[in-house]
Amino acid sequence: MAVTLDAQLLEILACPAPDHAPLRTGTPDDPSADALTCTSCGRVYPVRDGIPVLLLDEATTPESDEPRSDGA
Amino acid sequence: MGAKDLERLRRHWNKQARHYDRQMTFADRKFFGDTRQWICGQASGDVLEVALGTGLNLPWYPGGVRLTGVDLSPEMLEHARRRAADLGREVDVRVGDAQRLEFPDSSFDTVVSTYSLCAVPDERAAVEEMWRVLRPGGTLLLADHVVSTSAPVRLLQRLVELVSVPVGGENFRRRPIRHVRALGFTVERHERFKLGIVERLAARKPAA
Repeated sequence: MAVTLDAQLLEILACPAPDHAPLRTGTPDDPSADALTCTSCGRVYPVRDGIPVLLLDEATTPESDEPRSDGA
Repeated sequence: MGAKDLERLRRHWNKQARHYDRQMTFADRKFFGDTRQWICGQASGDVLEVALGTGLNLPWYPGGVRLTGVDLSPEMLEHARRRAADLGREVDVRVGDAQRLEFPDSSFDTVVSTYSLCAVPDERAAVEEMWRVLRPGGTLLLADHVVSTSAPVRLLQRLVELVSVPVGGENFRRRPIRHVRALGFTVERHERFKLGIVERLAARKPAA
């Protein structure tokens, strides 16, 4: 199931990191993945059971080697 | 506050999710009275509820508000989602940290939080975040159990904390209103009852 968030909701969704930059749906590699990606810092946040998990500790950073939680 | 502590708290609240409503309904009846109605009845416009939990406030919001809810525990949010569906209400939920909210500045007309600041590790940081995401002129609505005005009860609260803080991070001697005032909110309505243990307030962030 791809992330289905309406435009209005995406407008108020931002990265919890201090710059609070906007998020984009999907990952850089897979725009239809169950995830949200920060347009500034590149952190990828998982979406589990349709609920975005916007915790810094749960995010995958672009340079980290941790497995992606989006199943991509 | 390290990642491990936050994870521990999350596990604690995930475990609480199943029994939370029963315990809380009891507390609502015995202590908090009409506080949920009092708080939610003053909400308007774009509303953020911090620590939505199982959504016990959901039935009390006016029909016209647009609701977003954040909680540390996905299991709590699962209950809230079911409750919202039963009530026929729309609510956007996401897992988040009250101390680092995932919204741009000035995103909401109202921020609500009930019985949560007692359990947030850094409650001042949480109130600062509430201020940040509120629009100028927006309303902050808080209710919680706080330190009593009665000395014997204060002693009891101190004793309870010896267990409740290590077990679930729950504090009984806080006064969030101090942070609310210190940040520059104007407290417009304020009530304290049950030996000063229950405190609820409506405060406004000054218009720009």
